[in-house]
Amino acid sequence: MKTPERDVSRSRRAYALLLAAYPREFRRAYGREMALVFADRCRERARAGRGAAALVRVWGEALLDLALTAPREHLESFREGGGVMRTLRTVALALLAYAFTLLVVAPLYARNVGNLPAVVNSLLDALISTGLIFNFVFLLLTLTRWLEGVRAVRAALALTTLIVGALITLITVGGGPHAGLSLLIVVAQVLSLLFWFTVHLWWVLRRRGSAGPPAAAA
Amino acid sequence: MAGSDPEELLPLSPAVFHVLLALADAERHGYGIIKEVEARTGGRVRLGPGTLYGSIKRMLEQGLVEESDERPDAELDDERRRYYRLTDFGRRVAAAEAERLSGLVQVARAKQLLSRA
Repeated sequence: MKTPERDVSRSRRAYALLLAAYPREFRRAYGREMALVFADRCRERARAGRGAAALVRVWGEALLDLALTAPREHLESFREGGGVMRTLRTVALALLAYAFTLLVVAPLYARNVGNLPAVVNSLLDALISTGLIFNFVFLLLTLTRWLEGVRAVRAALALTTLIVGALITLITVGGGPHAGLSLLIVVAQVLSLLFWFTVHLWWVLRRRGSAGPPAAAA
Repeated sequence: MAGSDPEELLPLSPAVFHVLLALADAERHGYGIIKEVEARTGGRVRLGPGTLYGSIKRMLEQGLVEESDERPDAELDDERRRYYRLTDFGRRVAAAEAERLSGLVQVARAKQLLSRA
């Protein structure tokens, strides 16, 4: 029986994408080998079984394996990375930002929303909304050790921009009470994004400078 | 870790013990290990890529296995694949685990849970 090599190749590429579920260090060390092993398994089953249909079972096993082992590797990676205190120091700014946004800025904004000038209103609104998204993304990337440091800050900026952009587009296109989105709101969102980006970048670079050679290398 | 007492690592997880057994008689690459385990257990144990390489990672850290530069399987040789082999410490740990399991089997026999084959 002719091996459906194209199906195997596709499966391998898809599996290689799923390896993003593992910590970066683990992926770098073993990702290529894991994809090779997965492709070998697919090829063997496709030859022995019913072509593409046989791949379904391989995929089932692979997904179960991934679901069981990726969290464990993240946990180990978290421990190897210096444990709770190191991670807490890294995400301290994001946690502080969350506390500040929710406990100070949001109540202040809610209490004075009708009395504030439009510019301040828009800026506070943007600071809260982009802050919640930006810091959530940054926390997620850092705690899972998917990305760290400057890369995590850049990725948080990119993802938050995408999310905020999508929301603005939805509101503008979809109509509703805020359909007449003003330039002021958009500018406020952009400024807020830059604010969160700059603050986080400063924090990360400051921590990198004070960490010393071994931690910086890690 | 390689200089420590093998008993400290016991009991081994089933996956780790299977990998050690697979490497006991030959150096193998990842898929070779999976195939050997599958063949030896009649297909009852199928190590997934995540389970296998997670185990290998920890075994490398503990000094149970090491990467091999040689390519023992010339026919299936692939430059991209890494081969692994047991270290002396890994062999001692595998032997200690086998002894431990053997002791348990003897207990099971004594309590007539197993027939004397």
